[in-house]
Amino acid sequence: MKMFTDKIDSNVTLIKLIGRMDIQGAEEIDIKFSGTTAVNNGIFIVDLSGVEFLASIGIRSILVTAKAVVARKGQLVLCSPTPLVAGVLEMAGISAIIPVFDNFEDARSAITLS
Amino acid sequence: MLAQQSPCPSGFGSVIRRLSIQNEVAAISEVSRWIAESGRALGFSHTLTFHVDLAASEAIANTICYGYPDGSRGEIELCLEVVNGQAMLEIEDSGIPFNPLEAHTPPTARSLEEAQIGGLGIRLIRRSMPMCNYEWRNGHNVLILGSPLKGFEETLTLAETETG
Repeated sequence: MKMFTDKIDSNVTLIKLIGRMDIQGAEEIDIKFSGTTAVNNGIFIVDLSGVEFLASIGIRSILVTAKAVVARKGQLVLCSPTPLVAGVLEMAGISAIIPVFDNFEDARSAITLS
Repeated sequence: MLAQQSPCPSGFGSVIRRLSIQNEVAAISEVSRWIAESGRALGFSHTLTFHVDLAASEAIANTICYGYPDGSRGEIELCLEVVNGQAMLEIEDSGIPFNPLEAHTPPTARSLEEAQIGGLGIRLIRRSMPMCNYEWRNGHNVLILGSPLKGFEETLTLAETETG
């Protein structure tokens, strides 16, 4: 997997994940993903449009990171999953506890409003 | 490469795809590659291949991580075929007896704070394949997962049996 970050505001970071978020993929990005988000009051929009497969190990990675961000008084939201990846988030019950937006613009405005 | 293709013994002109793997974490990616390749050969839609891959990856990850607590080596056999318009995947392992269909999964969390890390794989197996059966056969765990080749999206909601 690959991970790219883009600082779009003083405390808002866009994280783009690309590839298969399976056991191998999650291992490849885990340290970078948790390291990038290890700041206080950080707001992170995680773009999933490039994620072609998502297994429970990948969900675990998102869940652990989101919990850590919230513990640091920050916010983490997901955006742009493909329909199949959105289905996995739904099946796993993740979309009920981490906000998921159809596109980046919706995620960006939801963050601005909160 | 242990993948092989053999004529269906029942003579329906279909093919059975088989794969043998060792109980090693690295084999999970091998299974995904095999499912992608087999799905193409058997005419699966992208959606069906995705869900077969998901269910198989989760089932095999469980077996590899928990099925051999003494650290012994074991073989996991996979068999994928189309029977009466259904994609059927059979996964057989020599690990300790474990029925993932009866295993406890944590309830669906209502908040990020109370969400538990774990138990998600089993939930994904049950929810991604409309037909799930387990047998203890000749001292082996056999998990049989099935899904229609067509109309998969409609049946997916019917397969939803957990209320969380």
